[in-house]
Amino acid sequence: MGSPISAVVANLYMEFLKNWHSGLPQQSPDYVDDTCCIVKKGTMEGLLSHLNSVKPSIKFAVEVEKDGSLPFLDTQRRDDGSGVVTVYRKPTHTQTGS
Amino acid sequence: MRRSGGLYHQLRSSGSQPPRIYGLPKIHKPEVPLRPIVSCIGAPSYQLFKYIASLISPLPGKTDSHVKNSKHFMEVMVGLSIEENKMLVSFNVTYLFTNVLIDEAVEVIRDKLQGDEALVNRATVSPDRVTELLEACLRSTYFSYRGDFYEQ
Repeated sequence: MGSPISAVVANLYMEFLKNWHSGLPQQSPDYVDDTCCIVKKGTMEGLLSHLNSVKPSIKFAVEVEKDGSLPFLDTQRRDDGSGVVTVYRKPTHTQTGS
Repeated sequence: MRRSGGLYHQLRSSGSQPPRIYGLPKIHKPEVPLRPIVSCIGAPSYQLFKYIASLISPLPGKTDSHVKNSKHFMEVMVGLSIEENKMLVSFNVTYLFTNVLIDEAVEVIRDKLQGDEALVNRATVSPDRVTELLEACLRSTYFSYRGDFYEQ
């Protein structure tokens, strides 16, 4: 769906799912199909299987922090516990251009 | 829809071409899979797509959890400490665009439009009419590839 409508519809549909069905912690920042959240250790598996049971066609993939660091929306938290958030580049990024 | 000059001529299609599919390689992933894209630019209903998009695009982004962009996300996250017994995870929907349930999405948007008092400033048509047009757009899923037609 490359029509100008698709993105808006997808956005509104996700807002609907998150507000009514998700069981995600309140105030988890989200950007269309991505949601970042802080969960209690050991509860992630249960939350993931709940999310995947809400709608048969909507499947979630989970990514877990590595030593306190997690890429999200082209940013990444430093893993030194400072809470500093910096720019994230994919490993294939060539560092050229601006 | 009332045939009122400007809008009628804006939406009326002429000299159009069918939506086309192509792929962009995801070079950051193993095996370099293609991201399929259906381009609707120049399609018979392209002007209608744009018109409907302009009516519904002010609707999202009003939730507390919505972040506008990377900068906004950083502002939310900076200095946030994560307790010892908690961890940071992200959930991402795989292929969201093609998996949105159209029936449900249409009703969600109908509700939002009916509750939007500013809609009269953007549209001369009723929320039900906008929703009807939106559904017609969402159910139009054909595209062409190398001269043949396909439907999603």
